[in-house]
Amino acid sequence: MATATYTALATITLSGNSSSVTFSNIPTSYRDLRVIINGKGSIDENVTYTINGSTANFSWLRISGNGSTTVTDKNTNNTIGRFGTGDTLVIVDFMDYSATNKEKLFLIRNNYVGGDVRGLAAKWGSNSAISSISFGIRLSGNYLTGTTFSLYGIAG
Amino acid sequence: MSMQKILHAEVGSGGASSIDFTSIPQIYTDLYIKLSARERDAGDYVRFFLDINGTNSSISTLFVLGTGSAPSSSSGTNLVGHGINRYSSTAGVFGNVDIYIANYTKNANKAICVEGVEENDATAAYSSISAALWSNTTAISSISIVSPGNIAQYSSATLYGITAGSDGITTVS
Repeated sequence: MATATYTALATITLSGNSSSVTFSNIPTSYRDLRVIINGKGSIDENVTYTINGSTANFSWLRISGNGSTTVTDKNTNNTIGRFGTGDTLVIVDFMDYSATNKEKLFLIRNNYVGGDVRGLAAKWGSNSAISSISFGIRLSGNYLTGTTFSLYGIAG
Repeated sequence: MSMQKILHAEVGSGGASSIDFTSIPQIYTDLYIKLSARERDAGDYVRFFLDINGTNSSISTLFVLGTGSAPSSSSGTNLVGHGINRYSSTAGVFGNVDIYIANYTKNANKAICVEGVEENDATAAYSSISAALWSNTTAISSISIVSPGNIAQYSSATLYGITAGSDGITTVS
């Protein structure tokens, strides 16, 4: 029997507006994680990342384009990427999330036709295995009803 | 298993105007397409577009494009991404494209993530990231990948269905 390599771990479709969504009790038995977020926000703002309860030790760099102008920049905070008031798709890939001998790198693709398209490389500067991930919206924004969050484990 | 192959399509002798996926089952959460392709005809379009449910209307896109010099950003309708190797590019080389469509059966507009890269043994090659939106709340039942330069023999595409769910251990709130 073939070994499952792409496994659904958890999913939620918001039945009401929510300021954040948290995946917890993430098993350490996979190699990588993928998160898919699709929906709308109450405001057009950055996504905030909290890993294992921590908002510290983040860094990132990005390239983005709004249809006329490109931007590249970097920062050392946990407000990474963008969630728009229009239909937005965010894909986040965490590599080697359960390793305890390396910091955690993740790649983000932000897709918001009403704003911009972004590619980001980010790091959580901790050797701890990732057991929980929270996604919020900066400046007290909410994810709107109907927004979906899905987490997948990828075997390696 | 949460990721299943639905269909693999290969372009045969003579090439084709499109690669088509029809009668897509409505049992998955998301769709994922991996494309390996090259233009058949002169024209060097690089771009491709998607026909969804038989139409290429109601699609809007933002791109960031790199060619080996400064990046640029543009927008478009119908045209979705880059990464189909140009006719004039190094012979025998095919570009790679990933297309992810979330919640394709949902009664909502469909957001699409596209990444594409061309390989060329020269000073210029195209790579891009695209955000696209199909402004239509109908469930997707067919997708065609269309190149203005037509698609060469040996190009191929695989359509996968992704199913969200729970492992009974991980929690979400």
